[in-house]
Amino acid sequence: MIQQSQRREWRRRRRRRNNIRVLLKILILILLLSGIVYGGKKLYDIYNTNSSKGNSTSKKSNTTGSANETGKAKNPDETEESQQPKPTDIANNPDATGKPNSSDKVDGADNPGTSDMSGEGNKPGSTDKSDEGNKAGTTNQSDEGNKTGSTGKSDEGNKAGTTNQSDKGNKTDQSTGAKDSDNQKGNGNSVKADDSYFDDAVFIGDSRTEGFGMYSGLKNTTVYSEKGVMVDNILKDKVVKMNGTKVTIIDALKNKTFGKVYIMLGVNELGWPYDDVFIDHYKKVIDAIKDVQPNAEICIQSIIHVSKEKDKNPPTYINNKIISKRNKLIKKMAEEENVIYLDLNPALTDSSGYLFSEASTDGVHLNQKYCLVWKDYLLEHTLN
Amino acid sequence: MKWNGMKKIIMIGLVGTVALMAFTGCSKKEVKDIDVKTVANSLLNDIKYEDQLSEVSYDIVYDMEDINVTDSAVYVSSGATAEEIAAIKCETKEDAAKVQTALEERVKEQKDSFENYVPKELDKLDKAVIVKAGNTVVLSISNDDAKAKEIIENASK
Repeated sequence: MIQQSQRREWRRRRRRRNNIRVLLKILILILLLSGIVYGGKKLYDIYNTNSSKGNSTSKKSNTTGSANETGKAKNPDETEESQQPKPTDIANNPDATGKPNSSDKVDGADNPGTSDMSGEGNKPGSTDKSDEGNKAGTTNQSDEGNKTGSTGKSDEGNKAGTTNQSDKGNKTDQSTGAKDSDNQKGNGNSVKADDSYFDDAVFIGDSRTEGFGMYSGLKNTTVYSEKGVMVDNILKDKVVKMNGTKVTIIDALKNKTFGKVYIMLGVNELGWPYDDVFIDHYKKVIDAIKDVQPNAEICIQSIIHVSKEKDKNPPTYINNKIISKRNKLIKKMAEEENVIYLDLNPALTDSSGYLFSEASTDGVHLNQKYCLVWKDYLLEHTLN
Repeated sequence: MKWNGMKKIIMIGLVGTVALMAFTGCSKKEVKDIDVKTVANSLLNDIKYEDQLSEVSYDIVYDMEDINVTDSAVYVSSGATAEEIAAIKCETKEDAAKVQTALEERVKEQKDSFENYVPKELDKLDKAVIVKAGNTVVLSISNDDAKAKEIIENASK
């Protein structure tokens, strides 16, 4: 009896052991198969990656060769095409420059009249066409000095021609006194300079200048800008990153010698009630820049007008009437400081003096297309 | 004897599997690289932005001089908003990590800039999405971080 029960027990154990063995075999088989499949797949992936890497490496060397391939500094036409305009709503963001003290009430809270604006950016009967008229006028002048200067902008001959013309033209401006009596420009050239003109330039300003720095596609120039910066804090605020630390714009300027300094400030200060305070601060900024860049040609750019929608909507102190008033004071200040004043508004505003509605979503900050218009305008109105 | 045979089979199986895995370097989970143009386009077109974003070169916006970038697509706002898209592919994972750090730094700097300028943009910056997948890093600053995450996740599948 005992032997029989023992035998039964042994049989049971054997069966169980057999079952476990079968299960183990299946498990090992599955493990083996999955290992082989997984490994094979990865080997295949590695093979694919290597072959595609080979292709991309050769592609990359081509890209490096052609310098501008990877989506930078496209020419204006290309950029327009590459832009993918999104449905935008200007009214969505009315306060983008809402930096000034909101308590500041200026008489300019009223909507500006067109007649007032005609005093500045757009003179009577001179809209965009007047600008072209100026260009045409300069063309005749330039033809004397540079017969080869057609419309080509990238070939070396023209580049050299432009340089000579600039020198000559600038001397003429200076000889007539006060860096151009109209203070409209540095040098209205019919032959546009090429981008290398900005090699020794530095742009100083607020968010508008920041946008210009990014959208102009200029990698050969220097931009020191900060959103919301104003004439009273630009000398103190540390906004430029250098070697991992932030320094003031003036300290940053000490590190390199520039040939041209373009400044645009003032849109964030429109809410300031006292014009003379604004101008006094602006003068200090210019003097500080002169101290650290004594040989640079300094150009004060006008405050660019805002769009009609921005002009008509709150905050009320951001309007073209105040901008025009401030620009007149800036122009006068530029004369006193013996620096160049350049009015950008002829290139960027419509016949009523409003910033082109398609130039900006918030009515203040320029989009890429109009930053390129701005850049072209500077190239057509070169400094020394 | 049978048990010994079993042990042999188990050992061979395990060694084979481990060897295969080790040989193919698959002990870690691999992440698929993202196509930068595709993901940037999706982020641009499938999310609604307040401002008009335009394409610029990555090195105009970010300080990445010491990083070997092989492909990139960057879209920035005019300055009216903090909205931004960046998809940057690097040669190595180490470079991708540097890009991630640079983009994190960019978000931080933008927060500092917008804090006293257009404070409402801080909402977008607080919800900035930065994802590193393989050698690619994607940044999205928008009003719709959930959608951005979904787009990036789909692109990395």
